[in-house]
Amino acid sequence: MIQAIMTALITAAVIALLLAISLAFASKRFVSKEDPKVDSVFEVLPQSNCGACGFPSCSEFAKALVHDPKAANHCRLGGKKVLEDIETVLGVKVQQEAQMFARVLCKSGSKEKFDYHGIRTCKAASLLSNGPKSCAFSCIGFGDCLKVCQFGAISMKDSLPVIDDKKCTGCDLCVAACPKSVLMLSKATDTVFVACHNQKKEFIKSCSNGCIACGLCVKACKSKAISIDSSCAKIDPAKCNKCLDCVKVCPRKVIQSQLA
Amino acid sequence: MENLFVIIIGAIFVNNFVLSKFLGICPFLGVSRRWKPALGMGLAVTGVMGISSTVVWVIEKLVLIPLNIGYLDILVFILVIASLVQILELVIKQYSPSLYNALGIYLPLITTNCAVLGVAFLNIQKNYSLVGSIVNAIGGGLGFLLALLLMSAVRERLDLGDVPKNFQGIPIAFITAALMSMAFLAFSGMIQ
Repeated sequence: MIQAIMTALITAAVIALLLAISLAFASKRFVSKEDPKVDSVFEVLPQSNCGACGFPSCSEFAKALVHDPKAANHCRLGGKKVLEDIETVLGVKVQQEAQMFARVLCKSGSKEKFDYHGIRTCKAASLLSNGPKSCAFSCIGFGDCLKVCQFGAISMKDSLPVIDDKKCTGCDLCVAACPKSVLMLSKATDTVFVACHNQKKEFIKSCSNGCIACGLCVKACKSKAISIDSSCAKIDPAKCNKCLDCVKVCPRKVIQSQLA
Repeated sequence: MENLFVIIIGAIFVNNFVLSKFLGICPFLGVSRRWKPALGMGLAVTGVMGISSTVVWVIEKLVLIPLNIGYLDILVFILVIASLVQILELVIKQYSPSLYNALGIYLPLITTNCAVLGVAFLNIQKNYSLVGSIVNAIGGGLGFLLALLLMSAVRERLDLGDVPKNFQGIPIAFITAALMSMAFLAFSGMIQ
């Protein structure tokens, strides 16, 4: 009997030992070489994996930063604090990028051109003859932008997204999620903008509160910051001095200012 | 000598490890949300099943049976599978960090995946030869891969669709899996 127990014990022990040796060998052979600096940079990042920096995850960003510290100002979510932390860890000085917010370039004044009963996402609806709204550039209102925002900065009011500037980090995810390019990132200092991005004259008559390209804002602007084509006005933020004359003069109240 | 064709058709379709035997459900439901990690997981499980079945068969036939300690098979099988999965984890971490991150916790969970242990025991039970065991194991892995890919395709569409709020996520996945199992019953009776 004792011999049976010994056989079992020794065999099990030998097999376990052989496996342990092969594991130890494998752990030496398949070492993923990681620079310890990558870990220390990774720790100061916000861990949100939002993609604002242009990399798919914070760990990828950390790896890239060790190679090229100048990209440190890409983390818009972290802002100044994370930038300073990265500068301390890597021992470099980088210039901070301007803070960006998302803006909604639509006031959703067009009616529905058909009854839509498909999948309730903006992306799916936009695939059916340019979407259920009569203006092809209108916001569809199913909230793809809201679903993708990780910071709760978007809420839907009357089928239009409303951006909370206090929570918006400028990460760019909602801009990419919108199939109609209604959302656009602009600098926090560019406060005056036209809430319409119509590109075809024929849609002017289908919208009750969009830009009608009347040109009154162009005449009112003393710094020649507004340009107009046949379909919509556009403001050049570099020339705008925020006098707000265009806001007062717009008959449809399409030009808006987002003063902090 | 068993018929290899019968074994492989049996392992992939008739006795599909996930849909007929209900083994390995944890990674089946955990990794099947998108098809890319599902593909990676299926291939990893196929690899582990194939290699572990070979090693386990050799140990069973050349060490355990001759020494009359066949009762140690559960212990030894788990040791072998656990070590293999650890080695596989190291290899995947080095050669494909994105797959490693996508699989996450489910990669080490292959160790406790009853499908891997199940195929090892099934080979012993049915007294297959070495070649038969390898074919059975790889077939089982391919069946697991097939079930995972089908499930991920269905779940990607379900995510877009209009599922009632309380059914979203795992509940509707279970119902889908049940319907798929019933569909796979169509293969029963194809082989002995």
